[in-house]
Amino acid sequence: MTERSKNIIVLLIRWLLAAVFIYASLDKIWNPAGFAASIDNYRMLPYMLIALMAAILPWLELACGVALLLGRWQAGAALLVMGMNAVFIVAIASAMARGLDISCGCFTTSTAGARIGAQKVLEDIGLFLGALVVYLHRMHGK
Amino acid sequence: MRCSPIASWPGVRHAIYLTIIAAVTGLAANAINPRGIAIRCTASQPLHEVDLSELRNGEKPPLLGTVQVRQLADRGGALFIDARTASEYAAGHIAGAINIPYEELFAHLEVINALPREPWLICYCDGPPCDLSHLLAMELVNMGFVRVAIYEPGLEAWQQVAATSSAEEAHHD
Repeated sequence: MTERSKNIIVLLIRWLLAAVFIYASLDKIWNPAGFAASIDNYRMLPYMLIALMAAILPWLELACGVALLLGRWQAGAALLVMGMNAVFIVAIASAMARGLDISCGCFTTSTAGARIGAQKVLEDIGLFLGALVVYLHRMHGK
Repeated sequence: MRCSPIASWPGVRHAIYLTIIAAVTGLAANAINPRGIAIRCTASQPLHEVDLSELRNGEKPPLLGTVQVRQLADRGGALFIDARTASEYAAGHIAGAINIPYEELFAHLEVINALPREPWLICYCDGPPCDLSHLLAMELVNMGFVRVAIYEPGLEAWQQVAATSSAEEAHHD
């Protein structure tokens, strides 16, 4: 594979990650209380951490999405995307292990949104690997 | 061998900048957003819309966490139903809750028929692994109630929140 095709593939992955994270942030930014309820459904955190996460996490998703889209602070944004997806994977796997049947809260705060399940874990693993590719490409000075 | 500090890893500095920008913007936006959430859990917590849909016969009632239940209860849209035995109910229950013991369901048909249709009927018991709230909620849905939900964390979790709120109020007084 030529250097040029590698660069194009990484650019497409970066833009895909940017689109996913910007889209994922919008409904949550609009409705922090609804997002707090989605986080609360996982039954992993005390109230104050839920509230802080509901207020800040969507803006972090948006900031990372914009950084990846514009190509500024790419490595930092890719690191954060990896970190967020690692947390999402643990949260979903933990909820599945406890037998919870809840909406994911991934792209919408609605309780009618997609449910948690193996598909969501695989999606998050895919996003994690995409961010890893962007990070490693950036680390190697490309 | 020397270990390099984490802050010197590629991208970590920018990740910290992005996190600070998101935290400042997020907290400021939350403070002015009418759908924002109170960062501290207090009795005066603002009211928020809760996205719940009415159920059809046979549908599984939604599982609610403490935040959602508090939102409903704060605006008077919830009636708590304690699914445990009468003696357990007498020993302690959520304020305002009525008692419909699942194990004596058919002795309480008059109470069930008199239940209001407007507020959400929030079934609870002690919390996991207690499943009486699930069983009672399913029966209510099958009887035609369309606003039924399960407060799965149960009495123990609710009492912890109530204790926190009381302590905060006492502190402010």
